Amino acid sequence: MPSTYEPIATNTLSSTATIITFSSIPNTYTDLVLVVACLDSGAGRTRLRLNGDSATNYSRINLVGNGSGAASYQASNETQFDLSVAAGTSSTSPTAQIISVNNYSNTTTNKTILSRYNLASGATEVMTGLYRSTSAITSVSYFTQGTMQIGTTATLYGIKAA
Amino acid sequence: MIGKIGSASGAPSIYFNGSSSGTAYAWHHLRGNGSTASVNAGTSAPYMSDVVSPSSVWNNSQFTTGVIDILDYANTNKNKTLRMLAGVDNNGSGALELYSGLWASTSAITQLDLFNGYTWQQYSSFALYGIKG
Repeated sequence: MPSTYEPIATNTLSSTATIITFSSIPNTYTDLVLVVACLDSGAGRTRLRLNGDSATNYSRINLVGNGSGAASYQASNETQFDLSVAAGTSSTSPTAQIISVNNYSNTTTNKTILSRYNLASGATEVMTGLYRSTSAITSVSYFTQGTMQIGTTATLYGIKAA
Repeated sequence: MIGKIGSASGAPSIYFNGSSSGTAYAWHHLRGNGSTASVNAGTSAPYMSDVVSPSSVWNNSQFTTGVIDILDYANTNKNKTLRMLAGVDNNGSGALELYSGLWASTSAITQLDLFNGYTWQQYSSFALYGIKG
């Protein structure tokens, strides 16, 4: 029986960095899943960019719970996805993030993502995003508003339909 | 999955093993539309309904995307549950839902229906994966 999740690449930071990029992603899977445990110097947002595209092709909706209430936010025509908008980041508590990019290699539809974000010291967030491009996704870049710290890990998985 | 439907008067529903009558289903969701968070629930229902509501978010130019997890699906000693994260963004509108569902049946799940009563549009895509411990 073939594995459901196949790791495509993993990056564990041995020095600080401002961006983690997975490139040359093969088109042989059905969906992509990015799993991140991020330690960060700042208290800002975590972000994602596809295919190195920094044009205003991104929009998203976030849903946040912080222990006392729930809220929802949105933004359109942005230059990246904001995976988290209210929870912040921490240099000592890693985030727990799972990002799904479904049907990433088709060249017919715009691309959509789903993100789950948890920071025990901050909040829990979910997010859906639209990338207005029909290009197949061949690279994924994860970054923050601060500087990612040593020990941050990111693994990109491909999952394949039967 | 990514999916889009045509004209619709109701958001899609989910049911198992072809069972879409009776009162065996219950569900809750937490929803955000970009400005407010809201909740909804159903009990004693014939299926799990209101998946990414309102229905208007399903019949536009963009595809809804979702991931559904069904845990311990083949167990015959306990009722079945699922969780889901699904949403659609239209560059300025849309919705996002965290969803939980119950099927009060101890039967092993052998069939999953994503039903909307209308027509799934071209390029909708569904993939079912098994995860083995």
